[in-house]
Amino acid sequence: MEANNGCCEEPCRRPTGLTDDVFGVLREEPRRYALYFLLEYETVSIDELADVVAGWRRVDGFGIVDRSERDAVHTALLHRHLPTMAAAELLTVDSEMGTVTRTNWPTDVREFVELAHDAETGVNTV
Amino acid sequence: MSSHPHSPPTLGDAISTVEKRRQTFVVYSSDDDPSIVDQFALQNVDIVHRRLPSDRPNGFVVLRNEADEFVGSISLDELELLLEPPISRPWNDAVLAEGYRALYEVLSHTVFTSLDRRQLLGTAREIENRAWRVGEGTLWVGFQRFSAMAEQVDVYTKLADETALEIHAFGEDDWELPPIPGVTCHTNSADEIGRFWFLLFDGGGDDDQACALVAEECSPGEYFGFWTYDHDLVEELTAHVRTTYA
Repeated sequence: MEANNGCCEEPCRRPTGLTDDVFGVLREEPRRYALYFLLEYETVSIDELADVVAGWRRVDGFGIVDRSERDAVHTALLHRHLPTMAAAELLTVDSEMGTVTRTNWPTDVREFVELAHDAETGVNTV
Repeated sequence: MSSHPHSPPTLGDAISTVEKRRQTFVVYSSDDDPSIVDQFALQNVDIVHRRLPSDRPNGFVVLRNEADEFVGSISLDELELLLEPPISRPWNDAVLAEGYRALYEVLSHTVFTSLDRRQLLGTAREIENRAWRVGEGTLWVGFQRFSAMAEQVDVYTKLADETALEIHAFGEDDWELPPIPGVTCHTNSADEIGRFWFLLFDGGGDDDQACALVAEECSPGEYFGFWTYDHDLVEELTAHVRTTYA
């Protein structure tokens, strides 16, 4: 990301894609992991997204993710997180098909999600 | 006990039945072909790979059953534990923590084709540990040969001595077994006894605690089989062993 090393000639502006809504989305872990998976796949079923969110964030922990834990993630995604992400225009939900599709993210949004992904999933850290 | 309309399945029948229940492992990893999954050499499992967007080699596996319902998810690191199981005494709570037992539960009905004795000993310990905790009921153990029980004599002495378990051991008579109070030994040279390593625990009145391991030695030291926590299946297997050999 380009740094503006104290030489602003114009007042610093927030890059276009990174709205308050997007930052709001990133505040919660299940939503971040859902976005990380959408970096790789543009359209996924909500069923699979629940599996991924439940399984991935527990990779470093001991023990299994059981059915009830996964189903709780599914419910939270369906009723809370997906509508929030859709409102922030990061994805669209097709309730009939049971899928979500990533919108065409502005470059700065994609970079920001990638940055969060690398930091949170431990890429390039020892 | 209700009478069965058909004769109980043999140990081999049970493996064939379980083998027909297809399951799916969805492997999430940045590595396209994590070798750990192949090492299991699973018979009734379809493996699907899905990519994660990282360079990080580890990932996780989601298990889905025949009806495509979520069964559980575990990290690839943890799956590896089953290949190198910590072998402890059945009464050692530290190793067989809840999470570890849950791992066995998730992988039940998965037919493995080539686990070695040490790997299966981990499963055997998990069953003995349940029997130890419940402290009553009946445990049926097929050692194939009594020489295979030699290293387990102290374990079974303590299991019998410190619980109200009824224990039956089966094997070919290739070693002079010292008498173990509380353990009934059945010497038998039947083909099935020689080929199958099995542990069946009826749960001691608690159906949720019933469990079984059935493994056929298909080549020396290499086993083919499954484990289960399905009470009805455990009961059928028990009925077969009791009526045929006890």
